Amino acid sequence: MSKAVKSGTAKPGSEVVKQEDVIVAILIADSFSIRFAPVTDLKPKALLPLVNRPMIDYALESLLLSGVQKTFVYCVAHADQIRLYLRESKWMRSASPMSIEVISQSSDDCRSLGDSLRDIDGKSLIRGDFILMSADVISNVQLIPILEEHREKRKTDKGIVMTHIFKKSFLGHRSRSAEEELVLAINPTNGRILNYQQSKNLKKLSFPLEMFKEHGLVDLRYDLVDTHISICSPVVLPLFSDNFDYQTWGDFVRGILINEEILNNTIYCHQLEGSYAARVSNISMYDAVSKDIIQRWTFPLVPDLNRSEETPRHTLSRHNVYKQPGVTLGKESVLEVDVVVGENSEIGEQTYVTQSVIGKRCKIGNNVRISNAYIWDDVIIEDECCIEVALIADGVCLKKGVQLGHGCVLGPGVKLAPGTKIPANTRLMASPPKSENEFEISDEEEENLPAPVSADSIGYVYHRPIEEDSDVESLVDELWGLEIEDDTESEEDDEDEADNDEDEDHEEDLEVGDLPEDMNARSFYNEVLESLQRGYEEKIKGDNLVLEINSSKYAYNVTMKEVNMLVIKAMLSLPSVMTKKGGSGTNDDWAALRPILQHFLPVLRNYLKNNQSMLDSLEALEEYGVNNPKFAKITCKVLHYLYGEDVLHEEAILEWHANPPNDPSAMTTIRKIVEPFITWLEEAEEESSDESD
Amino acid sequence: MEYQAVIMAAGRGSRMTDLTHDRPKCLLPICNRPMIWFSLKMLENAGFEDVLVIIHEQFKAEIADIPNKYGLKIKLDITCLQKNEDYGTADSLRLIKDKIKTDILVISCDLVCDIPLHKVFDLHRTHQSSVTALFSQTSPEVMLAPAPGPKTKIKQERDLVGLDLQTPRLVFLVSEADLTSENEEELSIRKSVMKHFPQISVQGNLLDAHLYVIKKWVCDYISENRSFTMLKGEVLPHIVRKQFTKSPKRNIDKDLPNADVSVISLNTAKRDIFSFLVGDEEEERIRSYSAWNDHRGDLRGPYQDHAIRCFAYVAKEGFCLRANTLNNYCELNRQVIKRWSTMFPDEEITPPVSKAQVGVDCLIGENTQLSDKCSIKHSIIGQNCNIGDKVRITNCIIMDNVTVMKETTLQGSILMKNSVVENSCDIKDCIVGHTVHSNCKSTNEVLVDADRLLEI
Repeated sequence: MSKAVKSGTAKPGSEVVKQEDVIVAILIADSFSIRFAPVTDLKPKALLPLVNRPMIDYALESLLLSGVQKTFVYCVAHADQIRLYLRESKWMRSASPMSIEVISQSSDDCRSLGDSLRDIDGKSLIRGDFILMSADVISNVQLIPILEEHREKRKTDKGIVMTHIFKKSFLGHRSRSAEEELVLAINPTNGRILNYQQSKNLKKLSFPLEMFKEHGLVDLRYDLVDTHISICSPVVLPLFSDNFDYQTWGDFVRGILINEEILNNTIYCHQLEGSYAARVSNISMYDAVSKDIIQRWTFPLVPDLNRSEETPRHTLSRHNVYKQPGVTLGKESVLEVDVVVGENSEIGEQTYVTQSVIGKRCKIGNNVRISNAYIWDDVIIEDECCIEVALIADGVCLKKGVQLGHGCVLGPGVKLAPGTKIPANTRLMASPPKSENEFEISDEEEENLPAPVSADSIGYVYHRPIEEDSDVESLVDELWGLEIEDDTESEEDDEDEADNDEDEDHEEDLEVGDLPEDMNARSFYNEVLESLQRGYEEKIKGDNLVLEINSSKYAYNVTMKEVNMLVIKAMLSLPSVMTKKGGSGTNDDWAALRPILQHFLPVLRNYLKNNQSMLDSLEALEEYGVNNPKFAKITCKVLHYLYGEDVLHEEAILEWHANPPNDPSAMTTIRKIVEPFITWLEEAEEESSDESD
Repeated sequence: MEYQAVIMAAGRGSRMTDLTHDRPKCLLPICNRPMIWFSLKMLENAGFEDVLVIIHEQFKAEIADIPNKYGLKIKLDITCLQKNEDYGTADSLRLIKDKIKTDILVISCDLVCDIPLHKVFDLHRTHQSSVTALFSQTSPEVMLAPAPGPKTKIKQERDLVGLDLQTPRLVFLVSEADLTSENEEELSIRKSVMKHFPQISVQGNLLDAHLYVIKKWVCDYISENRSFTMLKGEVLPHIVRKQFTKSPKRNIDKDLPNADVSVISLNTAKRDIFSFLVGDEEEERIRSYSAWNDHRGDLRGPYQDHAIRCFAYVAKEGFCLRANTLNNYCELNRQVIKRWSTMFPDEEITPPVSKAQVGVDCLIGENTQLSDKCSIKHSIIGQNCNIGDKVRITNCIIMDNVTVMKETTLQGSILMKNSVVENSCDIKDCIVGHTVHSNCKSTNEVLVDADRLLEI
């Protein structure tokens, strides 16, 4: 074994029994988040029931099944409740093959995973390799082989600090937690993690080139899901102590990878084959994991094999319907598929339940519809209620005809008066929010919720305290039950974005539909556009620009007509090119264009010398206007300005207007818009001719 | 005829100018055969009966004679470039666009490989790929093999090739050099690409064989789009990127009422890549009926519903190397002679009849005089050479009509056509292109004509 590393880190005065021989696990019984609020206000997350069993039971059971001999349960929030629960449970009996030690810390001193590991390091409890797991993880993974693998790797790589366990699950799989989306770069030959990124809010992922140079073969994986189980070398704890800024696992991994060259520490990844592991990190995941348990993906951690003595076993019948003893089912009631009903619950007549969990001692009335709901213990649901996609905590009472919108969460003790309708994605709690003085919900909150609670109800809308960094994350479980739509939508955005990127990469794909199809003219246009842009930004003199444009003209061999047209088009498109977005069609457009035209007046005067060139430019103006409806609106202003500056002569404008446009559609758009200007011109001419007479 | 073959043989050999200043790259000898012979042989073995060849005009006669000279049955259809014209590979393709009738196989004349081509074609055919490229796994030792001439730091032109782990789809293709210059040493990938291909294997040690099977419509696109000059540098990355662009929805109903207008606009507007795309209706229908899919985890159809698809055939075994640098050229000579009997079982090489000490892995050309007391190891000697007494030659490439006088030691060098090395020289890791006088000692030098040096 690997004594060399151990002896370096072990504290003097070690115990007689070598701890390496004992397989040790640290179970962090707090997720340091408020995803489950308000349900977790009074009860720790680890004790929340998951398919009628406290979550921590699953975690301890999976550790026990993998052969762990000693587990430290580290509690922060509501530590006393967890301690009490464990003391009463089978886990603390002397007959238990796994010994458990509970460590608790006040939540003021410990606010993150990092803090808790620093605290454990301070207590110097751990000497050997250990398994680090969160108490909200459900898994049936055999951890010992992975631990062996970890030790085996240390023979070749002394710097190994952690083997983290990942599960492959493809995009769109329900066990992918939307807020924990990650991208890993792995060396496929040995499984070393080379790069770790949380990709939730990223559109583009960047990887250092150095990594590819160093490793000829790199796998980029987007299909891996973090199970929150890791095999750690003892050095992990001091590493956390040395770096106070490591708060989460992600911080730790990033830190290790950044300091890789200095400390020579490495992290490996283990991909699960055929085992199950998932973390109940938010309510959507609670939903997903519950379904996995009911559909027996987590075997042997399934309701009918629940080993705890205090709860009677569930019996399993067809279509994954589990019932504990004492369940009564009324006439014509249906438990359709994937349903779990707890001890002594009563279900009334003509009630329909599907894909749901119902806790102990619940009373459900007649004609109730329940689907995709998680109903905990002692809940009373009266007749004709309708519940779809909801989480209902202990002791909730729904009077007759209550309707819950999708994704509602009702905290313990909430009572809703008959006929109450709750909008989707609402969280209710039984006591008024502490920060607010009023009973009614003020409209100042970001969501403009009507007061959902009628006079006889006990239930107040819970507003999640707005954390700076978690606003996006909270959105995720806000959307419980609606995820699919959200996902496709974002994908569309992504692809649109992708197309845009593509366009930016390739100038030949540039938007405007009025670009010349001829390659030479196109290059000429681009060059002119560039010259003009630079000319405007650097205030280059008109004469020099004319020289530049002329040289481009010869380089690309374009006709004079094309030059006239393209120069005008380039000038007109300059504002939108410079701001990189189309104008809004108001005076602002004109405000942006005017100084540009003013600056280029010498250039225009140079090119527009005779009647023909003016006609060309007017044609270009028209074409541009037809293709850019936004521009069309200000055509009149542009014409007027150019006329006023004597760039375009009256005769040319009138001749242009007299000839039919090339594009019939221009008749209705551009011609219509310039109509007032033309009439004004004509009138002016008549006047002047009158005068001359 | 399902495929047409095109050999790009107008390359200048810009990475080995010491050897190519008076001869085209495609005629440099590898194991005493002109480089292009290997491409022709490979095509003939794959069953091609004729091939389009693009060369420079002044070598036309010489190249046209090759099949005759070496008994190849393949017919050459030669297209010439003027002497000083420098055409990129895409430009060359544009030049012969009228001759292209079907999907094409494009190879470069400097490729020597024994990978069965039908496997590449199979991949191309199976997936109706737009472009299929051949890559081979190369060991870094081969790339870093020693070369004669001045010692320079070998610049490896590596590509980062992103392959989907599930299917051999080519997800991205960038050259390391581009990234280094443009992107501050980072490779960025859009997340939407990762969503389509959640498992990407990025390989940095693959050698692009510059062998592409290209669909006809892509050829049309290339010939229409004049901004492309290089296949490898521009076209391929472009097509690979275009895989992820959504094809515009063709709204037939909308087009029908004013059909005459739409026809005009089609001709005048710039045609985007999708307007070139020619789908096989039969194949589309089969796919829509079939339950087959190339990936799982989402509801997209086969090939992620991409109309443009690029695939990569990665040869795990077999020999594949391009003679595009001096190192590779030397290494190729050494490797090919070792593998000759397995690569070309039907092309026998006659062992030299001589009393001289000739080691294994040697090749002696016809009419070459070896004096009895010379020793030759790991070397290739061309035709009509004259090797004097007590000459020791190790690890050398000696082209035709070379004279080496007595008591000379040659090591790891290349002796160009018609060069002469006089008595008692000691030459190590040099390129010799003219007469080297007696008692010369050189290491890592280029010994070529003085007038040529002036020219430079």
